[in-house]
Amino acid sequence: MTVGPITAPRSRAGPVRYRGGRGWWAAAGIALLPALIPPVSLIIQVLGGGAALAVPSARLIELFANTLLLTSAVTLTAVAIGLATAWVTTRVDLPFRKGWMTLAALPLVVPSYVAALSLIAATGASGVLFEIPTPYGFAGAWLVLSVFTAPLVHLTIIPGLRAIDPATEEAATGLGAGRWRVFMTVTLPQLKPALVSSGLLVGLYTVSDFGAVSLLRFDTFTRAIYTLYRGQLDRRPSATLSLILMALAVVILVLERRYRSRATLHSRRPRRARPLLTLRSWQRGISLSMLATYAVVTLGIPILVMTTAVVRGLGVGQSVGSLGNEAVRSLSVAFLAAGATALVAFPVAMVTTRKPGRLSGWVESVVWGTYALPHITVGVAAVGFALQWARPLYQTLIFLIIIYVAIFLPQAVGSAQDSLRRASPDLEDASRGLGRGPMATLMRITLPLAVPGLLAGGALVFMSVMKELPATLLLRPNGFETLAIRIWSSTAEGFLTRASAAGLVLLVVSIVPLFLVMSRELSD
Amino acid sequence: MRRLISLVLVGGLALAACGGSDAEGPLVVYSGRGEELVSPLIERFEAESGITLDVRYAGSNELAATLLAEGDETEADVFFAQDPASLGAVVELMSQLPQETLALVDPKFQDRAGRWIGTSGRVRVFIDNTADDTPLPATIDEVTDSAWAGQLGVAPTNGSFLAFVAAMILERGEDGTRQWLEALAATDPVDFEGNSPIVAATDSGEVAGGLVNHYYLLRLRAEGLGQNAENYFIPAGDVGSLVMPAGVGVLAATERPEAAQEFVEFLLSEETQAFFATDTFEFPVIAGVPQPEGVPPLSEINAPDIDLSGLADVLDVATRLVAEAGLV
Repeated sequence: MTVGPITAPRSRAGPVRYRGGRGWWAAAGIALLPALIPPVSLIIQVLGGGAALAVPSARLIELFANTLLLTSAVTLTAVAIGLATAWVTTRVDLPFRKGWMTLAALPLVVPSYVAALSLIAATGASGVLFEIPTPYGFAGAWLVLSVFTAPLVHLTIIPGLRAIDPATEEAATGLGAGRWRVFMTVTLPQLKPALVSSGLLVGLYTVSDFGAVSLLRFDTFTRAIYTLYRGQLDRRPSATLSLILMALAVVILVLERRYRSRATLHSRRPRRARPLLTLRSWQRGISLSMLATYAVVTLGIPILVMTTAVVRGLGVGQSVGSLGNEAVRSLSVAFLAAGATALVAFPVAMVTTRKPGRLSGWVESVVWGTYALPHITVGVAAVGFALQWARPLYQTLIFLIIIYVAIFLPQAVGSAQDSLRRASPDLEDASRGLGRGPMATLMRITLPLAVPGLLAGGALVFMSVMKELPATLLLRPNGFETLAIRIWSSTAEGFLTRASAAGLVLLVVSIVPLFLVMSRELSD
Repeated sequence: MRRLISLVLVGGLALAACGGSDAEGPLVVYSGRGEELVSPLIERFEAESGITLDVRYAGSNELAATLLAEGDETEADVFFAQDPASLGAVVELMSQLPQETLALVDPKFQDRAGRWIGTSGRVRVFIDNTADDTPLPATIDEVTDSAWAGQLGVAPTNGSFLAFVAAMILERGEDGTRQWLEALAATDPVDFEGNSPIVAATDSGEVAGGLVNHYYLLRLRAEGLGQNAENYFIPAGDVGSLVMPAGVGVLAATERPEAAQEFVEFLLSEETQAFFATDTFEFPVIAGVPQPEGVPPLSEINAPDIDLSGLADVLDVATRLVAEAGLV
C-alpha cells in the first residue's frame, strides 16, 4: 500500500480533527465489552462473597518478587531476540528470507507446557540431547518463556521496521554514520513505541503463564492461583489473588504510560521501497546461523522430542488416534477469533492513539489488565458471568470466541496502534477537507493505514488461540475437542504417543496460514 | 420488514422448540476421566443402547466446580469422575442410585447415602527406582526418613495427592497429618505437576522414588518405557496403600433418569470392568472379573479402612495443610 504525497494546504484555524470522535468512542466502548467481562465478574465475586486470602503475607511478598523478577528478565531477553530476528529477516538480503521470517514467528504456537516438557525431555540424566541437569527454577522458566515469547516481539515490530522512512537512515549514512550507529541512533528510537508495546505483550503474558512455571517449578502468582483453583472449591481466595495480580498489571501499565515517548513518528513523505542490505559473507554467516540456532532451539528440539515419542510408541503398538477433526476445530476457531479480535482492535487502537487522555487510559487498563490474568481465572469468571447473566451463551462457540477476544485483544491493539501512530492524522484531515465523508475517509484512508498492524496482530491472536487451554477447557461446547485439549488430556493420562502426535500436528497446521499472512502483507 | 420479523419469529420458535425437546437430545456426561480412556466405552455404549452421548471432558475438580456453579440448571445427566473427593463435592446435586446397582459393589467404594458408586479401583503406591538400593518404606511414615531426603517425587497440587492427604486427615486427624506433612517437607522433596512426570523421573533416575497412583507405571510401560521403575505397595495398612475408586453418579436434575441409569449399569457390566482391567490397568469393582496384569490382586493389598464419603468435607483442610507445611 502506498500513500501519495499530500498536496493539500494544512489549515490550522482550529481543531478540525475527528469530528467523528463520538462514533469512535461508541465503537471502542462496544469493543471493550468482552474485555470487561472477567474483571467485572471477579469484582462482583469478591464484593459479594468477601475477599479472602488463603496465602500468608510473607508468601505473598515472595510471589510478588518472583513474578516481577521473571517478568522483567523474560521481557528484556525476548525483546532482544525478537528485535534481532525481525531486523535480520526484514532488512537483510538473506536466502529464503520469507521462510525465515515465518519460522521465527512459529514458536509462538508451541504451548508453554510443551516447550517446558521438551526442555525436560532434552536434558537430565536420560536426556534426549544433553546429559546436563535440567535447569529447574528461575533459569528454566526464564529460558523457555524468553525464547518462546520472542515471536510476539518479532511480529509486532516487523510492520514498524518496514514503515520507517528510508530517508532518515540514508541521511545518517550519508553523514558518515556506520551501520551500527545508524541502527542505534536512527532506527531504534523510531521503533521505541513498537518495542514498548511488544515488551508489554511479553511481560504481561509471562505474568499470566502457567505451563512453563509449573513444570519448571518456579513460584509465581499464577502458579499459586492455579493451585488454589485445583485444591479448593471455594473460589474467593483465587479471585482475590487474581485481582491483586490485575492491579499489578495496571500499575505496570500506568508507569509505562507516564514514561511513554510522545515522539512523532509519521513522516509526510511518500513511502518507497527500500533496497535490502547486502552483508559481507561472514556477516551473512552469522545472521543465518543465529536464525538457524533460534529455529533449532524453539522448533527443532520440540519436534525431535515429540517425534522420538511417536516413533517409540508406534514401535510398541501404540496408536496416534485420529486428529483430523481436532485440527479443523482448532484452525477454524483460531481463524474466527483472530478476525474478530482484529475487527474489535481497530476502534480501540483509534481512540487510544488519536484521543490520548484519561478515558483512553482507562480503556488501555481494562484491555491489558485482562490480558495479564491467568486464563483459568478468565475462564471461571466467564462461566460465572454466563450462568448468571447470559445463560443462552453458556458453552457456545460464540461465547468462547468473545472470551478469546477479551484475552488476546492487546496482541492486535498493540501493533494496530503502532501502524496508526506512523500514519499522519493530516491524511485524514486532508481527506475530510477535500470533501470525503467520514465513512469514505475511514474506508479509504484510515483502515488501509491500520491494515498491516491489524494483520500482524491477527496472526499473533491466531497462534495464541491455537494453543490456548484453560479457558477453552471451561468454555467450549461439549465435544469441541481441539488440538491443545488433546495434547493436555493425552499428557495427563500418560498417552505420550498421542500427545506428541497432536503436538506435531499443531505445529504443521499452523505453518500454512501463518506463511500466507507473512508473504502477503508483512514482506515486501 | 414484516417478512423479516416473521423470519426472526419463526427462527426463534424453532430454537425454542429445540430447547424444549431436551428429553430427546443426547445424554450429557461430564467426564473427569480422559477421552483416551473413555471414548472406546462411549462408542460401545452408543452402539449397544442406541442412546447418543454428549461428553464434556475436563479435570474432575473443574467439572465438580462447574456443576456447583450450574446447580439445578445443569445440562449434565451423569458425572463420571476420577476420585471420591470430586464426587463427594457434588453429592447434594445427585440422586440416590437403585439398591440393585449399589449391591454390585463393595460398600467401601460408594457414597454412604448411595449417591455415587465406584467403577474401578486405583491404589496409591510408592514408585521405586530399581537401580538404587535404598531400603523401601514399610509404613507411610518411613517415607519421610532422611534416606529419601532430596530424592522423593511428590505432586502436592495434584488432585490424587490432595485426596490422599484428605484420607490421612480422616485416619489420624488434623494434627497428625500436619506433623506428617511437616516431616515430608523437611526432607525437601522434589515437586512435580502430576503423577506421570514422577513416574518418568523415577524411571530415568532423576529421583529415587515417589508417591503416585499405581497405573501410571503400567501406562508408561505400554509406551515402551518404565523398565527401571517398580510399583511398591506399602504393606502397613495405612493410607500409603489407599484404594481410591473412580466413580459415577446421576444428577438429580436429569430429565432422562432411565438412560442415565443404563449408562451407570453399563460401566458396571462385566465387559466394561474387564476393559478397565486390561486397558487402563485398574482394579475391577465387581466380582468375577480378572485382575489387571502386573499388580497383586486387590485382596492382597493391605488397604486402610477409610470412609471415602468424608473425603470431600476435608479436602479444603488438606489443601490448607499442604500449603502451611510449605510444600507448595
